Amino acid sequence: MKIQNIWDLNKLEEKGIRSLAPKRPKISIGLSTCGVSLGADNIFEKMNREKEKHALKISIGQTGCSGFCDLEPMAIVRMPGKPPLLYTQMTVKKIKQMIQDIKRKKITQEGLLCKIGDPALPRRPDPLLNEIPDYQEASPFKDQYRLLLGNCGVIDPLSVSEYVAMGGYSALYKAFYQMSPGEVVEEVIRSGLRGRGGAWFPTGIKWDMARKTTSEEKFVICNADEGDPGAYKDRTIMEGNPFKLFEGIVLAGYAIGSHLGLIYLREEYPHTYQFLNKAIDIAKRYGLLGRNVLGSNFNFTLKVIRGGGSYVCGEETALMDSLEGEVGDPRLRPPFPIEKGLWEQPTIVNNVETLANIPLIIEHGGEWYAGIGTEKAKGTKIFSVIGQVQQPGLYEVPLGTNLEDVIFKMAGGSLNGGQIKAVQVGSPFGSFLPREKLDISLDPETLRDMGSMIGSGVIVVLDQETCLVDILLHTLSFFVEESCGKCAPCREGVFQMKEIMTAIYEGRATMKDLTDLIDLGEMIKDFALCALGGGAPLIILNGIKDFRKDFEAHITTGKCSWSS
Amino acid sequence: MITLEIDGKRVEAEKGSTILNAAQQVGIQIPYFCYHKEMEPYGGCRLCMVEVTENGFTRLQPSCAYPVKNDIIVKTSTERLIKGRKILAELLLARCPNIDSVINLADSLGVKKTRFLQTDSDCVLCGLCVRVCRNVAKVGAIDFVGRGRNRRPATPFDMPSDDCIGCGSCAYVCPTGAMKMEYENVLRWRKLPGPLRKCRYMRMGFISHKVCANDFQCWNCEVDQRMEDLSTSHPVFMLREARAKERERFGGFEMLSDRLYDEGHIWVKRINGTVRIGIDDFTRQIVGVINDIKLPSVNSFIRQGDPLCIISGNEKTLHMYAPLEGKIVDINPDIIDNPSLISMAPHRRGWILMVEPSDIVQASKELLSGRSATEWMTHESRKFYDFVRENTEMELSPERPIPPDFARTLEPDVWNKIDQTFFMVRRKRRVKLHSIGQAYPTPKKDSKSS
Repeated sequence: MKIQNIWDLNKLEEKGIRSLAPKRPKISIGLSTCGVSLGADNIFEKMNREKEKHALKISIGQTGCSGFCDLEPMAIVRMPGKPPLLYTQMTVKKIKQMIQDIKRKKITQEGLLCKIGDPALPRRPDPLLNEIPDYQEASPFKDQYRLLLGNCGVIDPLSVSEYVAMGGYSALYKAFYQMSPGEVVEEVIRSGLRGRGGAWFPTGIKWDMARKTTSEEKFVICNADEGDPGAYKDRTIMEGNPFKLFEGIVLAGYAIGSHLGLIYLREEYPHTYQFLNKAIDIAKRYGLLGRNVLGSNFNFTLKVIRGGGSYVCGEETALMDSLEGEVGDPRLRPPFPIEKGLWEQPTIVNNVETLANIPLIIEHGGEWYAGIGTEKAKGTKIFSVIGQVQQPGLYEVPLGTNLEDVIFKMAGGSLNGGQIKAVQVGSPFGSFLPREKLDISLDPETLRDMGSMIGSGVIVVLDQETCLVDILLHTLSFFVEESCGKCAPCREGVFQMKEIMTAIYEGRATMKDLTDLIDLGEMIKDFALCALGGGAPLIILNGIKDFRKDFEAHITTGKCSWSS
Repeated sequence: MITLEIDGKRVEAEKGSTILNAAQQVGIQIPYFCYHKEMEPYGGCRLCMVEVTENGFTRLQPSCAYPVKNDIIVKTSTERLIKGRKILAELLLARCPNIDSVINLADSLGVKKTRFLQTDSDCVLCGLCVRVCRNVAKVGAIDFVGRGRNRRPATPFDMPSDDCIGCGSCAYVCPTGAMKMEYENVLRWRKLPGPLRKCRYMRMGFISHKVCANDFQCWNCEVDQRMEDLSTSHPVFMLREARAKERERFGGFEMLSDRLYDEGHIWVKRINGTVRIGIDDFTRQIVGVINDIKLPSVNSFIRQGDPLCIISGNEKTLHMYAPLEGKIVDINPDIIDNPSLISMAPHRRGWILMVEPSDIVQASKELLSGRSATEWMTHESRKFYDFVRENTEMELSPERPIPPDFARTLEPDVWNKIDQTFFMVRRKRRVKLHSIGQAYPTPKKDSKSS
């Protein structure tokens, strides 16, 4: 079963196409964390029982999440001769109806969202299907550029053959047999890819430095400690298309000359942990991890390690402390992880989304990738839009897309038709932008110039009825809770900021407290050790600048008109 | 020497020193709280921040940790820094309003009172106690517990730690007096029977064996007084020099002091009744990245001189021979998945087998340890570099590591010679030779039990 050469890969691709366009009807249920929490496992079980009871000639499969968790449990119905159909918000009752309809070769209309004209498969025209919108035109997927998420929620995440049918592992094959490690790094440099975890450091340059170090041992760490409140893009990639991530990690290992990869997974993702381990076992069985990957003489081990539930462990140096079994505290730099990282060896730490981009870059070339996005920030970015919007979810758009387009055109604007008061890009560190400042391009440079940051791409939308002081106090409590306590400015300073903010919120403060708050914030910004401490005061400083009215209302009258 | 500019003065500093060291040399005072000259920088108090201008960018950096570089401009007391330090001092004062060292430090920065919410704590969380215990005494009996303001140094579950050696260095380095010497431990030790009353200098590793006859009243003890006299600060800081010898290079190849070495370039480590076996640094450097290994199966029986494993890398193959007789009880599962691990960390994670020796005492006698091992390795190194000079055109020296593709560039006959001179020592000595196919005769009683 091990894939040794191109013929094995081709065979697997054919198998995948057969499974994506099956000869007998197939229903796939979205069984990722969000689907399961909405009862998908129950549906899956009931379907299997129904199938056994009536000896139905259908097959039942699973798929991942497409990024719109409130539409779960989703189901994809593949009937011979028709494109796959995507159904949302399934229940046991609806599924039973659907099975009846499939028997009569009818298309169920209830819950039908769109048809998926599969890029890997020839389109089969059918007059009956004309009025069903296409995947690209259906509401939440409209206007998106789903490079990374395209296969999530469409293919079976644990099926290597389906991933190969979608073009998977051709990049790894190309790298092993046609490119040297140096060329892989060059391709990544040419693509202009920058780290998606929040710091936006050029990935290629990081790899190049790591490749040039001469050391016995090097490590690739995939940072899956997705702690930003409201972010779930990494989980969606891991549960929707894990082999793409593995391919990216192996490519990173090949490029820098490392033989050991570690996925540092957030503690709060127990389902993902089991899922990834299952996927690693499958990849090993296919010879895509472990000894002689893809028949080459390159060995690579991949392991998943769970964190302990601390937010600061998403910071790369604290993450390495945590991996070594210590308390997760950020380290001083220099030395940088590329010089002395995990166990004092050169280490690269990349986000899940960054690594998932690598197979695309190697397969289609760096220049193709550099054609997407803005001048300085290339490629697409997954934004997780949450808060008071019509359709929260993951929106993958090219960098440089207008923020208003994302909020109003794609996510459908404010929830109850009310006015939008503020939008936070890059939660929790990004500052709140007032309604007038929303007409901006979404890229790291624009937001940095505004004194904010794009972070890992969480967009929080707040409507007119929210009190900014309340929200800022809440965010500050998060920082106080998650501060590791190593450096004094963050540990003591942010705590004192929260005390002052509480006083303001409760109407006990004076205007002098506001200047104290600004003084503290300016100091912490400069003096703190890591990005968590340095980023924490930004929202307050910018919040005072943009929403001074809310603060003054609290100080002078003791409350604002929206606080209860 | 490196020249840099601090507050307008040209300063010369040694490579590898920090800005704080360089500033102290020329008498520029930078305040600090968590720095200790005997320990690695921590960067927690942030009082020692300075403005560093490098390549046209000005950034704030902790001077206790930032290395000196040529042509950087350092400013230690700009307006931004003074203002920030004052607020920091206020914050520390708000945390510990009754601690003298904090009050003095705030006073020196011109801060008399704080405008922030005060709490009464006696620990500033400088982390000195945790660091001295973990990094200097190499004990790690205490660590930080909790996060943020709830963080505090403590033993696991706040119970008296069995790991604590009672050296008292944590209390010695504490700047606020918050850390108390662990008297509970001493009281427990007093109840122990005689032979278990180990002296704290024995626990620290200075003396190989000494039992306390003084009822743990160190202030009455001659040994303690002698050690205190020898050391300028706390005796624990003298341990570093002693430890540097632990992992040294001989003839360019790393050797660990806790390992026994076999002349076939295999290390052996005794773990209770079994031994762990792996390849040494010499083999690793010569073979390069190992991408395949063939091993006998678990539970099979090997004799001294039997083939132990076949490693290949850089298109070359090498047979290693067993240094002792015994039953294989375990194989490192990680190297089966990924043989490259062996070349990544041959002494640690890349171990190969666990063997239950038939006669561990006899086996240990035959292996090299201590002085004889280092002398042997130095000799082997000299022999190897002579060999390379005679047989190839490469120029290698013990100062630099062997290039990773060394084995690939060798002609097969040269490689065979290397194999014979350096790795077949054990095999020659044996009377009975096995070819690989019949290499692992399994005794019948073993196969029954498994």
